[in-house]
Amino acid sequence: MKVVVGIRTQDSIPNPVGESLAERLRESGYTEVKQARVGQLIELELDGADETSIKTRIERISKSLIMHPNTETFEILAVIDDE
Amino acid sequence: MKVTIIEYPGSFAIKELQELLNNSLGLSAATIWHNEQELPETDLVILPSGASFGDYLRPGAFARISPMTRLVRNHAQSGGKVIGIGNGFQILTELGLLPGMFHESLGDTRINEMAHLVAATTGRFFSTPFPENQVMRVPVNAKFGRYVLDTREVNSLRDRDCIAFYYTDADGNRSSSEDIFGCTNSIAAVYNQTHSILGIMAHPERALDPLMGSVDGRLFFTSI
Repeated sequence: MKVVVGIRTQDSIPNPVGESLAERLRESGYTEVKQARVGQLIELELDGADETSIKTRIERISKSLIMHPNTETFEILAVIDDE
Repeated sequence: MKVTIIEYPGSFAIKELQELLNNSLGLSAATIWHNEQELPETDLVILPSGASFGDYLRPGAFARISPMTRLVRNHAQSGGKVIGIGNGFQILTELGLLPGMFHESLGDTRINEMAHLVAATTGRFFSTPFPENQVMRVPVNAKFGRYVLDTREVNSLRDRDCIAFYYTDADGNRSSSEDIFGCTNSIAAVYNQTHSILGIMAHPERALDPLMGSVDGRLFFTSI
């Protein structure tokens, strides 16, 4: 089973890369861009077929290593049963 | 004073740090590999600079689940003293022992430039109070040196007297242009709430001998 996890900084935390990206896009003519925030997308392939237990496992994995405990949040964006 | 330095794959100049602490400062410093299972009795743990595990995912992230890091967390949570320098500071934020996180430095990587730091508080971390208004000139060298905090965290640090050092100009004046990394409020180093843990991005350990261009780091270590 594949799980896609999104990691993003909390809204209260400055996101300098996102700010620079939004500024660069506006400079390039995409003036409608108001804000950008840059995070990470992580795809994990795991053994197991039970979606509920996999989600619990992913939560533990995310909290123990993948996301920064002070400033980031994680979200399971997709669970793909590829069998 | 017994000092234990934790070595990760990608830690820099561990032997030099150990020798400097032993020879220049007369401490009893030993190094231990991150995968060891027992932390020897120690007065101070140093999480050193470098790029542990290649800075993959985030600087310091992979170090978070090393066995020795977990033991250091226990040591810290029971009041033991810990200093995180450079990457070690990043690891301390990864553990949630210090607030905030690090982004890529503003501008270029800033290899071995000298920064000026002034203590924001004399700090209970130091057994000899760190001199007020004393400018400490020490090297900086960090790709991910931009310390980022939100307003709530800054206020909390300020209210609890936990801002250890600010970046300043050579005369000790604070201004955002003197903060070479672009850190929130030019904060260069912080304590935890009980002042037993200190994270600093600049390198006092690289300013212990005249041959290194500055001896101001001695002030930092001899105050502990």
